Amino acid sequence: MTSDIALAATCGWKYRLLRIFGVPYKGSFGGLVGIVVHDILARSGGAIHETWQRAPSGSYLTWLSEKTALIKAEVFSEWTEKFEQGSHTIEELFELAERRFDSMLEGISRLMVEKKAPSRFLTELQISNPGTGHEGRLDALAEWDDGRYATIDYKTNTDEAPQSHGYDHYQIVANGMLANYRNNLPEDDFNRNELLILYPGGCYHPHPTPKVQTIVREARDYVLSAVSSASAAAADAIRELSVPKACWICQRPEECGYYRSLEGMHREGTLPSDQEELRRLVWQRRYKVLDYRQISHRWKFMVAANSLEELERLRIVETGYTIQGMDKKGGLAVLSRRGGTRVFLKGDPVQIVALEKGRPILSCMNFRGAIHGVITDGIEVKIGSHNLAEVGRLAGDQSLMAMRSEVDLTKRELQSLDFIQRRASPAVIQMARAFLGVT
Amino acid sequence: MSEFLDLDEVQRRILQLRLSSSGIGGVQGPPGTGKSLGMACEALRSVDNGQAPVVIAAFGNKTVDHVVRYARSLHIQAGGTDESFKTIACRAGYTPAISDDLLTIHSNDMLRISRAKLVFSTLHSSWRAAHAVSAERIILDETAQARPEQGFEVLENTTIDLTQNIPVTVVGDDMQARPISPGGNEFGILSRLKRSMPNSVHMLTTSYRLPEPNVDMTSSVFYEGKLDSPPEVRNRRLELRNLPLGLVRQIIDPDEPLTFVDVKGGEVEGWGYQNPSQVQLTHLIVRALRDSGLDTTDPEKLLVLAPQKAQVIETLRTLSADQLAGENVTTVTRSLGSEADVVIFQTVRSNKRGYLGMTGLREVLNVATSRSRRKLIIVGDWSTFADGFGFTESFGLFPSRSRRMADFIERQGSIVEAQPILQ
Repeated sequence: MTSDIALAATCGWKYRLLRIFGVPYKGSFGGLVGIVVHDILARSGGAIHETWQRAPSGSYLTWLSEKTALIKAEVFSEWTEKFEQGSHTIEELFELAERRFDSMLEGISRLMVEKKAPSRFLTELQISNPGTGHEGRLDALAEWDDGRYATIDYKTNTDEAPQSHGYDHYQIVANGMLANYRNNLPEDDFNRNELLILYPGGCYHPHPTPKVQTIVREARDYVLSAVSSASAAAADAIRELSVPKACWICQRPEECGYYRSLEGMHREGTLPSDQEELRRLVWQRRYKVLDYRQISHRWKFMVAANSLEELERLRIVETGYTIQGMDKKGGLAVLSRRGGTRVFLKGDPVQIVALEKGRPILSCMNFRGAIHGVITDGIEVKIGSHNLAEVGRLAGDQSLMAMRSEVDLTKRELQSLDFIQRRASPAVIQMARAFLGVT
Repeated sequence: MSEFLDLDEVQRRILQLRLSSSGIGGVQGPPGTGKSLGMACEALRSVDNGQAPVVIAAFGNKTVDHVVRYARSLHIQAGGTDESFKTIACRAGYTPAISDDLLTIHSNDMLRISRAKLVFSTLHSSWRAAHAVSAERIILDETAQARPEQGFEVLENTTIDLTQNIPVTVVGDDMQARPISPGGNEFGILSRLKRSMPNSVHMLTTSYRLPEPNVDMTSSVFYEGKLDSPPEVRNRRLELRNLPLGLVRQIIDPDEPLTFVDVKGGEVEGWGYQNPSQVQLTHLIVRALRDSGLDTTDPEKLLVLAPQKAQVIETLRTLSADQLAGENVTTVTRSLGSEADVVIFQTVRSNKRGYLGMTGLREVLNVATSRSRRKLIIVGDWSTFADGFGFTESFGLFPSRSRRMADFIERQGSIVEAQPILQ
């Protein structure tokens, strides 16, 4: 994902801690506010697009506020159920989220003043470029009829404006590369692609300079080598990353220090034998988990490598679906297809792709979910990646393809390995050894 | 709380061992031997003894819910009520995956979880108990298919600050399941425990599901003859009325609990192996069962299984078009934990080389042939089955246990030549 690439571009170790070692990320309250605001924006694509197209100039903000009010209420209602009270109350969460969301709308309305309305406004667009192993989810993509497009990133986790360098910049350039791929252009051709970071109160236009692009590509190579069990290659790559690490502002000096010294002692042969054995056992499992993570992406590579006809013959995809209706109460999209399904059973993970002529399949608008039921002439899908209104807006009248998919649960597994190696008490380590089959 | 008089001698002995142990131990439970009951007993007795909270986690939601129901039923049997069960138990997890009948005890609220004496969840959902629970006892089910790191998830979330051993019971059956693995060469927690601490793993030996002679087949092929059923289970038979005449009657004969229906050919290789001839034959059998009074749409009455998903989909389409079956047509893997009066198992593969592929795996054969309470009908090519080879990426071709099953069926089951029916 592009967030991994951006993280690796800031510091290879930071990436390794999160994605290889499984060090848990302790989110801040500000970050939680950002998630809530992001959740509202992700569902507000229709409201934003309609306002952009139809609202009289000068009243964008009023329109946006009115049209997103119900969505905001819906999201708050869901968060009321899932919020876990800690040092902050739900009221504090909503108050801050409301304030930050209003500021985000200000930024969006400024953009509307600057630019004419796009013909399409896609939200939460996941794009995979199997040729480069590059994958990411764009917060939004605006497309104009003259072939121009804008890659949009919502920066909701802080009230501050984004920095002109660092994580935010790397991430949007990485996303922009995917948008170029969607338009059948070389990934470094940004001539028609404008990068926009919308933040509370404003809109920032970062530049995809050659240097940033190089850093992103290097980081991507690093990420790919690090997850392919090729630790030696990853170790080499980390030394070649051209971005200086900024350890003095890192939030994880303790975890990083632990693993760096552990790996250092291992290389020098000074690690005590019991720790050396535990390290070896845990690494064996880490490699297994990384292998599992790779197979969870296998269908995408199959899709990239074969024609639609072949994919259909292999029953990896099934084309010819259309939206028959939405069961709002059950949260289901009902998709019909002549002759029903010959690929899916209840419970299967699925990716629904709204096919667009002339675009790579894995760059088309898509929705992820699970088969809730198989009906005579189609499937009922519980969509997890978008709300039903957005599914209807973005795929309503298009021909849809259902594609086999996998759920990747490896993050928690890696986290549990970090627990055993770094945080568990001797008593728990003994239990872990028994689970591993070691006497 | 009651003394759980429902337990048999072996179950009781294992329960006592687990309750008196302060370390890790395993329970291997062959089909229908009461793993879930044993787990529920251990959990409730532990609470009675003041050793709580108890965390009970399994690989899949269906299994977790199964154990919750047992625990609730035992609690009520011992004089409790639904309401009092709610005060001691909490089913945490992903809400849409939890059975409707258990939603009243479902909560992901940390406060509610922290107050519960029994916390139920899947291995992957145990994070919901993080910072809320410091377990005094952990019981893990389906550990034959759980990889070590999946078990670690439960340890991570429920043993923070643990300084001394707590009892951990690892339950499952490595003869029925193993982890899904990229290369096929992977072992679950239970198998690993059996390797490292063989004396700490005990096996349940009485099946309350399998009638005679099916129990003897399962016992001899997979459990070294250690499995048995009590007489009332051994003698359990199917009840049908208005039986048809001819070969179809022989196939669904209620007095014959083990029937192999031999059908040659039909194997088609596509995105997965399929066998339209076996679909057609299954359709005939299910229709005959329905006409003889069996509610073939009820998953408690009938399960139709095949190892290959492609075959399951074609069978489901055919049967559901005539409203003969629905969600009770499923893959062998997904049927784990289910049982029904009648089970139809399609072996799918039919070739002269004896290549059974995944059908020949011991776990697949064991699960598919041990779901039935009253009658098992195996639909397949007899010669492929009797001389079968299994296949995995790690081990390549190997002689399948289907050969030993075929030997047994030849001696104690019935074999019906089905080609004339299809013609």
